[in-house]
Amino acid sequence: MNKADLLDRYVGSPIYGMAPEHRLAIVLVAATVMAAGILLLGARRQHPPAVRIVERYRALPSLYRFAAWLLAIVSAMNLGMGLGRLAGPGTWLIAVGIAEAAILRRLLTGRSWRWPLASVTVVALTVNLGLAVAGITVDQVGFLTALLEATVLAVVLRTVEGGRLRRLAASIVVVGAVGFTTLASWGGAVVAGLGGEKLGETPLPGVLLPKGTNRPPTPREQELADRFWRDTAAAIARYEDVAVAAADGYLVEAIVGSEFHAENPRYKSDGILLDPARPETLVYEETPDGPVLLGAMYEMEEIGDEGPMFAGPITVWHAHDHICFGVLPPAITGFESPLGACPLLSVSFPVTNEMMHVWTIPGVDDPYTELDEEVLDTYLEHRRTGP
Amino acid sequence: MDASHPSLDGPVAVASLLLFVQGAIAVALASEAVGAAIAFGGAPAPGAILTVAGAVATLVLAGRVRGHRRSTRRWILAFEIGWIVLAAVDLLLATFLADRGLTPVGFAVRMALPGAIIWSLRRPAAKVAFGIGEAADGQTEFPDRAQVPA
Repeated sequence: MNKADLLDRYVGSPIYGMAPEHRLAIVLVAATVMAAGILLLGARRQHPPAVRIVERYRALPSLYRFAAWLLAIVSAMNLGMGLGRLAGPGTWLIAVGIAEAAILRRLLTGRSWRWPLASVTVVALTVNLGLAVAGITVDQVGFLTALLEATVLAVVLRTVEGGRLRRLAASIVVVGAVGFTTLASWGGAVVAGLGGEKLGETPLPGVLLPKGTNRPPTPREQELADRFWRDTAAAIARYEDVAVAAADGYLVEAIVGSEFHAENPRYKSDGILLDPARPETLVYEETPDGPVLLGAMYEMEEIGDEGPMFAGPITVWHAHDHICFGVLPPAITGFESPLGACPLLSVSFPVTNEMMHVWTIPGVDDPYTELDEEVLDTYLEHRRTGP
Repeated sequence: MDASHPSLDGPVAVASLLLFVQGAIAVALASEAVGAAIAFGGAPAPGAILTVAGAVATLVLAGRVRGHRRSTRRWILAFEIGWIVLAAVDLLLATFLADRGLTPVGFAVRMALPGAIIWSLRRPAAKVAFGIGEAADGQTEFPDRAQVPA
């Protein structure tokens, strides 16, 4: 498969991408930069309005000139995003964009601009929070806009007059603004992606689903899914004993935490697919009474290979993107931040091979999707207290 | 604040601000790293601890840059080059595996921002401020170290 086509086959969380309706924001930023160029040209040709604006700009100290550029860009981005989605949050974004343009005008004309800017930034951050609560994912364009707004806020707050405590408080506000924006971004993405496991749904951050449209399964597909589940449950029951799993090559020496994935390196490269007797990975839960087997995970060997949906919309495979893989020690360390980085000593994998879980514990409505935490808790409680 | 205040003007002022923003971003990344380490492994992993240390180092450097010490400038330049190298590793991996680049914010935070800091500190006026170069007329353009606020 052509590598460039690989990711086009999937739907991922918007937190790592750009919503199509935000393309106008990019166009407006480009137009803003061109307008600045035209202004400079006009000043060189001694057109009085252009001369006035450029002279005022050049009279500003470096930090305020930097702030002027940022204000122009974020104003264009907010206007572009707002015009791209006129219903709901679009109105707020347009209002913020117009306010930021007005503040830029105040900056260039020597009027008070710092506290109006701080106020508008608070409104902008509140809009971000509202989007998160409403389950609207802030995409990369929105997140970049918020970061640039936090940077302009830093210009205002870091140059505040006063003692050390006041300056420290101002610094904490800026650090908090960046952290708050990041948290809101995650929150919106998680709310939007919760339960997104079927074709046509929005997945959680870090999950890729094949493009397609969901539909009810046929009776034959349901029968195939049920049979495969029974076969898997029967075949892996012996791996409740981790010693048996270890003897067959599963890496069960250090089972920690919830839904620990114990791989079998031999089965991951044996060329055999969907064999209940040889699943590539077993999934365990760490408990005070020892590891508890939750199910199996089947995997495609190569990145880009499509998992066979043998039972139609029931058996949907998924891949992961923007996954952080630590090098010391080798382990998954999380998902890439919307800020675009993984923890130190980790690298970001853009895409993994496809995989499919089969949960074998009793009480699971759909054993091929995400494990329900309530069902898991009930099962573990039942095991703890006995029949 | 008086717009002619020395803390507002010059590439060092811009570098100081950008470093501070980078520090704020590093704090957010460190918080995520610690949270993820606990969620995935039950305890902070070495990488998460290093990320926290990196965030602290960034904020310390942001606070010290206006002291105009040459050693601080060297540390900052090395630090920023490190950011860019790590980003280049992820970029190579993404290109090799999926013909993709960094995300737009990832590019801005991990390449453009460190690049802007390096550019600011390598400007002739910044070198003069750190006592490395001289202005064209042989005079230093900025107040000497004793006058620069901490």
